[in-house]
Amino acid sequence: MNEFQFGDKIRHILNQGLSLDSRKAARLQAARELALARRRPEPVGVVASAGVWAGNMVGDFGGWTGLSLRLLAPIAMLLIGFGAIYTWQQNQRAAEVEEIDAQLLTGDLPIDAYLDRGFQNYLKTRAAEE
Amino acid sequence: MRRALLLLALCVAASAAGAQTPKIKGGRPAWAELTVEQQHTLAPLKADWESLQPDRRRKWIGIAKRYPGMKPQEQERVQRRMQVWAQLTPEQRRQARENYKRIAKVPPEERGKLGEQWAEYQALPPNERQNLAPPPAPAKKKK
Repeated sequence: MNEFQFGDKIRHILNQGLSLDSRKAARLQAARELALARRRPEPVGVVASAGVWAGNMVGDFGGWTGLSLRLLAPIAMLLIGFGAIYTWQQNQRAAEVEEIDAQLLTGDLPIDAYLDRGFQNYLKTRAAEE
Repeated sequence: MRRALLLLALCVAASAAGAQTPKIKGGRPAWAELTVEQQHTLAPLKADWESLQPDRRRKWIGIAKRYPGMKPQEQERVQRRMQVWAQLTPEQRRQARENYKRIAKVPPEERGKLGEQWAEYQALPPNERQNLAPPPAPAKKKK
């Protein structure tokens, strides 16, 4: 049975009428009212608000009202987002530096070895020989 | 238009300040603000502590936190190398970290030989060592 047939069947049953007791009917009524109350308000004239926004932007750009929340909120969100990413990156970098430094300070090789270009080249030539 | 730009600038400044202020305040403990244990571990840095940037102070505090979990030999190395490391220039530290990252990529069995190789390298005659690290003259000329 596909979806259409199933829907058709339900419609048919409903058309025949349901014998609901008053308690069930009251619960259904309450559920419907709750659903209606929670329903999000429909966008009231998207075109109209876009027009107002455009009007604000074009006609009244210099004025305070021109900078409605519709413009500032996304910018603020963007800035907060960038800030969060930047902070996260800085923390990651700091953690990496701490890890490397801890290993440099405790490792078998002295710090001089990591600063000695000759030794770095020596290791490279040794690796190439092997 | 001017107001719009001013407001935007304020937003950017506010967010930048928001990102910076807690870092400096929270990440800038004075020497006296460290715990006794941290002071004990970081004692070789005491004289330089006030000149350290906040991010470096945080890093050293992080290392002090790892310290109790280190082997005695590692603790001794940290104590010995701490001051030397802190007194390197930022460029030298960057270079050392880069080299460390490269060396760390070699297989563990090779890594065990590094100490030996360092000793071998140091035993080389000075001219041979010099040949391995020619002075970076061309780079200077370019400047």
